[in-house]
Amino acid sequence: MLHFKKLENKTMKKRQNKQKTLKRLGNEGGFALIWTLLICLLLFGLMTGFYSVTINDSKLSAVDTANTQAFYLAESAIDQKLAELRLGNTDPLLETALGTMGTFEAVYDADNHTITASGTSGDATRTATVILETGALSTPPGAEAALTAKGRLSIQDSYMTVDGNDHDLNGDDTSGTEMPGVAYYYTSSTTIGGGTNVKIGGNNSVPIASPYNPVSIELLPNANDQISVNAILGLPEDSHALDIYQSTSPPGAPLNNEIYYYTPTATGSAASVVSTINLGTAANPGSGILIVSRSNSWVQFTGYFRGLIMAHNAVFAANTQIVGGVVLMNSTSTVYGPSSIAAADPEAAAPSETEPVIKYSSEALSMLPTITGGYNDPNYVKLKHWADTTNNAAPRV
Amino acid sequence: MVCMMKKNQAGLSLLEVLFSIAILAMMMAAIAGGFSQFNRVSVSQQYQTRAIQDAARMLEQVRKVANESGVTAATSATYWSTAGGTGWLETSAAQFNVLPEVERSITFPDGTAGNPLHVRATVTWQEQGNPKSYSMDMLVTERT
Repeated sequence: MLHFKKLENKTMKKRQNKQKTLKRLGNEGGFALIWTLLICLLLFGLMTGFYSVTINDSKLSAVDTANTQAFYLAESAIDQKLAELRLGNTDPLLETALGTMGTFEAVYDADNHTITASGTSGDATRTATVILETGALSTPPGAEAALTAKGRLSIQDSYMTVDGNDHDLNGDDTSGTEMPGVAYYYTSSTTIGGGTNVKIGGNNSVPIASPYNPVSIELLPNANDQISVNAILGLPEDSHALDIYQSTSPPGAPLNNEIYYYTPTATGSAASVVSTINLGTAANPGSGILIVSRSNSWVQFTGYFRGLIMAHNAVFAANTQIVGGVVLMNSTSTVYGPSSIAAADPEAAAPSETEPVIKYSSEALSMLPTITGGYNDPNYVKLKHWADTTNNAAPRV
Repeated sequence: MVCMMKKNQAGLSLLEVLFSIAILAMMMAAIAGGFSQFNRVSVSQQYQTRAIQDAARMLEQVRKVANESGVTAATSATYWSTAGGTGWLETSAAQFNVLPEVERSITFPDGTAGNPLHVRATVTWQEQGNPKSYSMDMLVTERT
């Protein structure tokens, strides 16, 4: 009996618990508010996330802006210091403001020929180091062979020898700076020599007729590099340093270690040149820098010369010898030698003719007259390449 | 008694639901406003980034011209812009990233005679009906 009662009590308790639970589950009071709170929390979390992303983006954007501005400030410092070096000022460039972007400064290291420049905009600072080519160069940067064409080149079938091996002032082969005989911008329409009378040598290869030794010929990478008179002589493109040498008349006498800048008033043709320039004699050759500049102009050169000749096209007469170099500046430059070479005539007591010869000579090119601001000016400066592009940019927080 | 309790519970639920709807509505309104603001800021940042890229490309073009043809050539007004719309700014620069109603200009705050030359690249555009602009300066000399 007692056992039965205990069992009944247990069952009752179980029933009561079950009813309590059912009652609790059935009471939905406050449930909507709880759901609302949960949704609000979720939405608040989302909002906070978006806010954080937006703030972060804003910071990144501000840092990127400051970094870019700092980079161009550092670039400005390099240019400012380059311009000052060309005027002989090697002092450090102190902190200087540029507009409202920020400030820049630069230091020139004369021992290592470097400029270390920095730009600061807001919290960002960027530093750049460049290596310079400074001081007088020994030869013009545009003379890259015995005969250099900055554009396409056409050497017509005629008698001519071009020798890029180094020569002394007398035109004798000497061991020195061996160069190619011909350097030009190659395109499929370019021809060098049309027959067996054009001989080209260089880089320790003796001049031979076509097919030429490949080491004697250099193909330039592009047509526009250093095609101007200024660029060939290492002057800034807009330099007027050579203006004082300009004349519309050809030189009346062979040059004597001087610069002559002839600007013909007519173009002419290979068969009808605008003028024939007497370069000098074997005993007393002319010397210096002879520039003939007019697009598609035609001039004939005759005689003996030591130095640099620059022209658009050229006709070389028999018995002509140029020791130094020739640079041609047309987009397509054409060169002619004589179509025939006369043999000696004992009856007329006339000696035989020789074909025109262009002989590269680093010695002759190193003795050219100084050009203010040009390659052989002690203040000559140009940017060679970047030494350090790590540019300590501000971290992107 | 049970009946009364049931009735009371139903009333509270209705009130709760109304409260909940009101709170949710306020929250949604705030979120909608927030989204709109975030979007506006994001678009503004995108435009600013494009404007900086535009200005940097313009300055690089100035440097290219200065190196190839000299600093004086870089000051040629007709190179940058012509009445016929054939200048560099109207042709090549027009292919850059698009900004709404974008206008670009190259100016020389210290005149055209300086070396190095002080160059300013300015980009202006419309952003939600308001004009915006970004300028970047650089000094340029012939480097090679």
